[in-house]
Amino acid sequence: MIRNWLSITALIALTLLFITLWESPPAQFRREQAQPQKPAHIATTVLHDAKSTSFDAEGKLAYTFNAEETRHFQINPKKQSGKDYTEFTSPYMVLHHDPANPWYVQAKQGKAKKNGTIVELWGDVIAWQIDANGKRSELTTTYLRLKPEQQYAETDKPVMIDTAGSKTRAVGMKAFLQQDRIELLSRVRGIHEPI
Amino acid sequence: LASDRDQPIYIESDSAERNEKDGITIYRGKVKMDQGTLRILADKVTIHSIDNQVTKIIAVGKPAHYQQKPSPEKETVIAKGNTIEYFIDQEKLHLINDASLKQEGSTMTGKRINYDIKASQVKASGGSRTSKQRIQMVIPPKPKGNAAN
Repeated sequence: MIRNWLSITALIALTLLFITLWESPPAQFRREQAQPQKPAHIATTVLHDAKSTSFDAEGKLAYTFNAEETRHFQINPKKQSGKDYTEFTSPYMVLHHDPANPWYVQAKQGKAKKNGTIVELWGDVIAWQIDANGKRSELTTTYLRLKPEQQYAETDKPVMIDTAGSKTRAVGMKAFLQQDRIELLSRVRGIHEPI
Repeated sequence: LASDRDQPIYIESDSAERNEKDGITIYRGKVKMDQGTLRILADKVTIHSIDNQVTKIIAVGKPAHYQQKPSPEKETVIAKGNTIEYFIDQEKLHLINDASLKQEGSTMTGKRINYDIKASQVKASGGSRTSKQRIQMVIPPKPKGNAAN
């Protein structure tokens, strides 16, 4: 009879111990979970209202770039590397593959990587072109990945293309700006206005 | 309907490719295109535009399907072909290879059928004398009641 009582009391004691540990674990348990955050990178250079102009191998104007604020991050203070990156706010680019008909691109935020060969843009991304008759073709999305030197852009997000006479929606896009050719990757819905 | 050509063209597909310079948009994969009562179903539809105005549409399929109601009181015209060319301005349709067109109960088949949408007129041409794609026309008999008139 006494043995029964002993085992019940032991069971209750163990349960209480478990609950107490669960509710307020000793400090050393907590310290493992809350690792100190690695200090965020510190911008090595900050520019305001920066404007840059880039030329291609033959010296022709390739693209211009403006941004309200540009913050450059050099990972290793002693030497530059491909991992360095640049963040910017309100980026605005003009891609001059066809001087008569350039592509304009703007967004809220952006980041340049791999020595500027890759530019990511996000937040109300708009890319547009104005043809010889003044008609505007516009492309909008939430995220765009650009390779300025190759005049190429892509996204895996929903995209809307508005031109005079048609409206097209899709998910995912590859734009070969030099050839004015756009591939829409899935769920395409188009509206073409009548004559 | 006559008003179809004044309606916007709605089109859905799995993927697409736009070439702004040439004014060509190619839709691929389970393509469904509607313009008023006109409907085209195909594997691939190419839309040709000049100054952003659609002038010609080419549908390709195994086969591609077309249907349209010529006028409120008439039956829907149903057509098929491995290639369907739709010329918007002239309101003409070309059905090419394994073509067939069903209109007011009668069905025509052949290698190629040209259909004037506005005039609801059909002109068909068969394959060479040896090929099996000669023109065939099936006109159903009139129901007994009206046989006398």
